[in-house]
Amino acid sequence: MIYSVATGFVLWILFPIWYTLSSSFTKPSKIGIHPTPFWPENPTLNNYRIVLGIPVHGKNCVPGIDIKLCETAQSNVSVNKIVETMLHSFYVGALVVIFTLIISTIAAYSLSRYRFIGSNFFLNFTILSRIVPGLVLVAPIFIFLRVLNLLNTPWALIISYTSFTLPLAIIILKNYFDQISIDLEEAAALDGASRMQTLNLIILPVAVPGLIATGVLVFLESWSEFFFALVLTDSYTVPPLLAGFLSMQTFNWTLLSAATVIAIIPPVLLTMIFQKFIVTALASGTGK
Amino acid sequence: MESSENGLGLNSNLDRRTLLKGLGVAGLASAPMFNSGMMSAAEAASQTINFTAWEYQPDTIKSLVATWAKKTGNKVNTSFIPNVGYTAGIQARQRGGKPADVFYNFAYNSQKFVSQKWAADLRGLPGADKMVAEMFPSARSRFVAENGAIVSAPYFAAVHMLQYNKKMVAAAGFSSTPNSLQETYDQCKKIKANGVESPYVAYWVKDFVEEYLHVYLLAGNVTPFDKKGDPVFMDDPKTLDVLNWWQAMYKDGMTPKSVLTDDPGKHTTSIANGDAAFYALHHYFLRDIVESKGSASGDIAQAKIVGTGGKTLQMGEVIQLGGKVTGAKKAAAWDFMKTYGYKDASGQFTTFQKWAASGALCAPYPGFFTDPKVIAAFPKYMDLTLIADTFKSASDVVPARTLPWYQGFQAQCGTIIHDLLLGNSNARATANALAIACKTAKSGSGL
Repeated sequence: MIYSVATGFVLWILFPIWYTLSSSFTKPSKIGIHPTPFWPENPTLNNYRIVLGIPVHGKNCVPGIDIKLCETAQSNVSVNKIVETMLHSFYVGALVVIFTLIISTIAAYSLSRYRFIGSNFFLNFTILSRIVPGLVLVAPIFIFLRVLNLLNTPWALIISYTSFTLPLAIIILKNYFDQISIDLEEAAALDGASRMQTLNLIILPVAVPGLIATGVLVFLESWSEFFFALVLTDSYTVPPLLAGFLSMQTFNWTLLSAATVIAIIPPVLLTMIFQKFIVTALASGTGK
Repeated sequence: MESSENGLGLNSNLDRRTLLKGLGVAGLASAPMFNSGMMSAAEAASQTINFTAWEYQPDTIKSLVATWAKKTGNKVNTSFIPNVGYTAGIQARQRGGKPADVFYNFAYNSQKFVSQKWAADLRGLPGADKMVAEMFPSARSRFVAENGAIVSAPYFAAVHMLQYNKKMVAAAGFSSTPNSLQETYDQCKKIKANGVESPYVAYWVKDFVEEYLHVYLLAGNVTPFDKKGDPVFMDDPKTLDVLNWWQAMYKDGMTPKSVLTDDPGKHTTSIANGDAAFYALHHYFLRDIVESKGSASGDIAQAKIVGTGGKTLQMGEVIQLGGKVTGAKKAAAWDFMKTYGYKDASGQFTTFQKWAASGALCAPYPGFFTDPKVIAAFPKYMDLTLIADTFKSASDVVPARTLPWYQGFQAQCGTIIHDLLLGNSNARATANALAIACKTAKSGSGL
């Protein structure tokens, strides 16, 4: 019984991924046909070629301009930008992870080890700040970044994403630090270590799994964020670029699928590599 | 603000009728002004224009922008925002104090943007009157508000047409495409009996079904809204016939059950592969059908929605001039906008020639359809004469669709119409609900 439920759940999760993968190898004229084949009859790499800016009908095809020379009318969207945009996303995500981990580690450690006036309020407020929809915050953040002349730069996203991911990171890391025995710190204190030395030399090495898991989750959140990237930049990162493949009237499913498959490779790899740490970190505190 | 500069705000007493009547004369009289407009642009050289567009053929946009910049010596910073999320993106930039100087906009937002002073009233700008005067009379009211304000220039225009499978229609024993909505149903029924499970497809998703409300009301010889934006369709008994027909098309299986959620790509595949006989949507979708190279792509042709019967909906999106642009920059921005949405300095439809070639998009000017470069560029499988004729005499823009409150009505149409199609409501109740939605939106208590 449990296996059939698990199998059903896995299929449910994998169905959209299979459909996306299958569509990415499907010719535009074959998308949406009935019955939907498990795999396209004559798979094509042209969707990937177009997305990567590789001409599909010889060198005369310039997607977006000489449409008649190309395979189909699908060059209505930005092509040849996916790799560059993924590098942008990676750059933004990496810096957001670094800043978030530095700030959240100090904050989470303080909240875990100290009881100070307002510490509970601070923790609750941190959790509450996750509830506020980004839509409400976008206008003041936009003005703030405009004044700093940071609009349409990676820093616009790095600053705003860091502020959103901090609460999540603080909550996860605080839970993680709560699990680490205080005996280690007391031993370090007896040996004359300062608080910062204790944090750097004793706690952080022990907390590496939690830090990795938090970093991965923060990276994923940064990688997939759409709205702020839409408003604060001109499609600097992957999600707005993918959204550009759709419009109210034009749906470039096959190109979107190919671009999506390429774009999910880094987060999928990252998650697979660090899967064990993520599960451990998220489960920390559940045995209390 | 532009309206205060020329003394004609949105609340001016000069109404659209007066303005449109005067446009013919003004158009001729403004020829010298048009030339002086070119001079203004030259004087305004070396300006930097911030241009925001949504991502449809971004490389084409870049080439158009580059051509204009090279010719005039100005610079254009082009920002692309995805079409999905464009309204949110552009409004956030307006509110955040970083507005564009020239920008694409959805027609339904155009008057709202002018009334909020995010976009300029174009009256008094050199050549603006001539631009409007050269449009099809049927198209003008998308760009000219009831009070006479010129709120935008065309980005593109299109008409709803019926893409149909010639062989299927002939095999069902019909010598022509339907001349009324009832004939559409009858032909579908016959074609269905011939083995085509779902003969009719259309983009009836919630967000888009409002366009079809007008398409079918106009096809049924119903005037949807009057000039004041009042829903006069409510008082026309033919409205109930149209709504009953619409419900029957869905309930009787003339369309796939999934038509309420299917996207145009799926419909294109469907008709291109012989799984549907009719596909009602903008004329340029014929290009997708033919170029998708399906097994039936070569059998697809285009006709008016109801042949010799009523009209169809003329739609299109617009370009607007930023409400805060002034001085030499404004002259340059207007010159750019004019090149993009009308003619270049040499009087050529340069931009529209490009759109005709790359997307089969049209411009709402009779001159566009007789331009040899447009004729050469337009796909040969499309009947340009038929499309021109539809623009000229068989289509309506439904002026209410650009009114500031209209989006509130539009947002509610989807649920109301889907309730009808799903059988949760009847024609009378639907007409009432639409009228209430309209009243709510107008009163400002809608979305």
